[in-house]
Amino acid sequence: MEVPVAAAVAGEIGLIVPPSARGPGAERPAVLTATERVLFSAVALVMFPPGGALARSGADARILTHLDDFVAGLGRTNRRLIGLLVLAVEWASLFLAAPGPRGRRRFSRLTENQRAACLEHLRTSPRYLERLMFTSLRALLTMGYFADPEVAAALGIAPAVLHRQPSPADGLWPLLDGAGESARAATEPLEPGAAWSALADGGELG
Amino acid sequence: MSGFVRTFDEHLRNFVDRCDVAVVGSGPGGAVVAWQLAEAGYDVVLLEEGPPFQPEDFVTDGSAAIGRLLRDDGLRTTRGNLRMPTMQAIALGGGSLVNSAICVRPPASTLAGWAEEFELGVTGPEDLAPHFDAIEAALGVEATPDAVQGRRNLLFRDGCRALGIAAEPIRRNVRACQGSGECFTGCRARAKQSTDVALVPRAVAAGARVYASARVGQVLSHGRRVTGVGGRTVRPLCGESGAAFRVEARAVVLAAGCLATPLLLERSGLAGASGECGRNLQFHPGVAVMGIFDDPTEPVFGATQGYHSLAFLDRGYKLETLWGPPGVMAVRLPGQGLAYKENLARIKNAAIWDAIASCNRSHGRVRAKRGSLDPLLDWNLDHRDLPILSEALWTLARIFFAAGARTILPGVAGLPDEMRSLDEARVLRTAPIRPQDLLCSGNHVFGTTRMHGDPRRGVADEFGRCHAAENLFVADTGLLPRSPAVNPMLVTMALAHRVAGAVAAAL
Repeated sequence: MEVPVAAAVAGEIGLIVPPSARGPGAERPAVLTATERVLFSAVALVMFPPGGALARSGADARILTHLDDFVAGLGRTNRRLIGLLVLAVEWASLFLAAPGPRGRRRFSRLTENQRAACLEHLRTSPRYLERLMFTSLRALLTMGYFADPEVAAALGIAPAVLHRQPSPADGLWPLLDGAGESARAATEPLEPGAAWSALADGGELG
Repeated sequence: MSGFVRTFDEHLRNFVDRCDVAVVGSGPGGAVVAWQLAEAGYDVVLLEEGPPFQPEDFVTDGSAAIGRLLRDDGLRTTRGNLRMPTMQAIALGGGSLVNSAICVRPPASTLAGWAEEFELGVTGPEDLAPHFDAIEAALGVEATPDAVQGRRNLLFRDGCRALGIAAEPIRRNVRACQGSGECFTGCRARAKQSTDVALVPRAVAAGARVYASARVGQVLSHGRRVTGVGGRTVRPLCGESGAAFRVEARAVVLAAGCLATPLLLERSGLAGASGECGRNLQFHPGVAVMGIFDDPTEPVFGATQGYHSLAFLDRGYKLETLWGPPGVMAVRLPGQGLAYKENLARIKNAAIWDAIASCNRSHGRVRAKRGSLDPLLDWNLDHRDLPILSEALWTLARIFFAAGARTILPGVAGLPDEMRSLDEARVLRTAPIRPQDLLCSGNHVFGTTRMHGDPRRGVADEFGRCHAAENLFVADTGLLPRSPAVNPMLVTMALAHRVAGAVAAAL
């Protein structure tokens, strides 16, 4: 399957969510490249097909959206490593010779059965690097699958409602994500004490 | 005088502060020093690279949580003969925010071994006892009650009992635990008495000034005396640099963590002449086995790690129960497609128990990536330590079957994915296992600024005093000269408690 075609198919089944559908506070454009989206979609279809013990498929669980959020939060080096992982899996299939006709193609161009065979080869490989590729890839997808509330509910692993206990740390600092931090900064201007003096903005330390 | 906690948005301009003691790092070591010295009346500044979290900031989704709370997006691994994940927190409270609150004193034999091998004259059990007592009292350490053990922890107890293996509820720094099993992603119930909850507020009440999101880049010195630290603020969750700062101090305590403190010392020209700074990197490699039971274990309920066995410490390993983000726990389940989904569905009937091993022959080194303070972890699992891990896996298998497990999944490459009987599991003990065959994690790390009675063979003495400077101290797990045999938090805090006294004496 050509990359653009696969991407379109993936979009059709909900694996690629347009940025506007991400929900509040998630207006940023997708960060996964087309190749990454296609590869992750292809693996997700094999790893989490519809039906079976858990009804939700990878597509239903919007794994790709979750992955995109995860990758968006990564630093440059780790972002690069994810890219390398994708490339490695995408091209490793050339050397793995999946069964059936035209088994030596890029991963995303293989049939579903051939992809499954490639992934099984990686999973059970005597080569550490190949197993590492599989484990990393599956861990990324599985965390995305488990992040889906319906999957969590089906597995009985949804987070419990907890009673938050009071603590001396309450109010000592604001919420990290909320408006609290900037609000406090605005309402409590810093007043340097005797032992606290400000340098000029932009100045460097000596 | 009341201190404060300043967050990134409040670091509006470059700044200079002056104090008696600058403490770098707010994890188990640094927070103890800051609390002790502030309550003793010293003017203390506590610097922490990570942001502070309130319970409402914690998320339960595994990948999101590790990205927010851990360094390197939670993807840090060792380099060497296996890629072992190792997680270091970046948050006010450091590792205490994301560990499972296990507080165990090292066995007397371990401390005696340290004393003999590393020429430590006053680090025996009796020497450290008052420091252990003080820390346990401050954190409210107590045994995990049965009411919040949950079935997956109690099954471990039952399996151990059936085999005559001593096991006990884990003593933890937790108050009114609700058994959410969320220690690793941050305690939403605020039951865990991590240092940001238990000690930082006390330090602040005594006047300590806490700068969160402040990354120290250098220890400033003049000759053999340090004069303070300098660095830049850093925007939470993205690492973007902000304002510059300098904190001038009469003494500096480095508790930035075993993987950062040696790099700070190196960069500052304070590594000393021993050549040991950054060396002797050690971990507790951890291996785990998942067991599947006929009846549901309801694994999300229960203390993250509620039961353990210290019966095999002299064999080099400690056994524990374990829970974590389900997506991470599932990594050892075999298969793909419908078979994988079938396995995932079995997580409702699962328990995971682990072993941490004292691999004292497996050493490594931490060094800085070029031009940064980010660490590279060169570490190999020595083949002579592998039998410890094999035996630990076998013992876990025995306990699982004694507890009534239907099947176990040891997650060892080259061996069957599932083992349905003790006979099938015997291969764990007999098969040759390579380091790369194991799904290991190494979250206890120590040794890189080890204490040693001989300045030529260590970075600091047993009071944390750096050999390279008169008023520079170390108070994190780097001080431990080798494995403490058990989880390292409590002994690190006890040592830090003693370091605080040494700092006071030096002022």
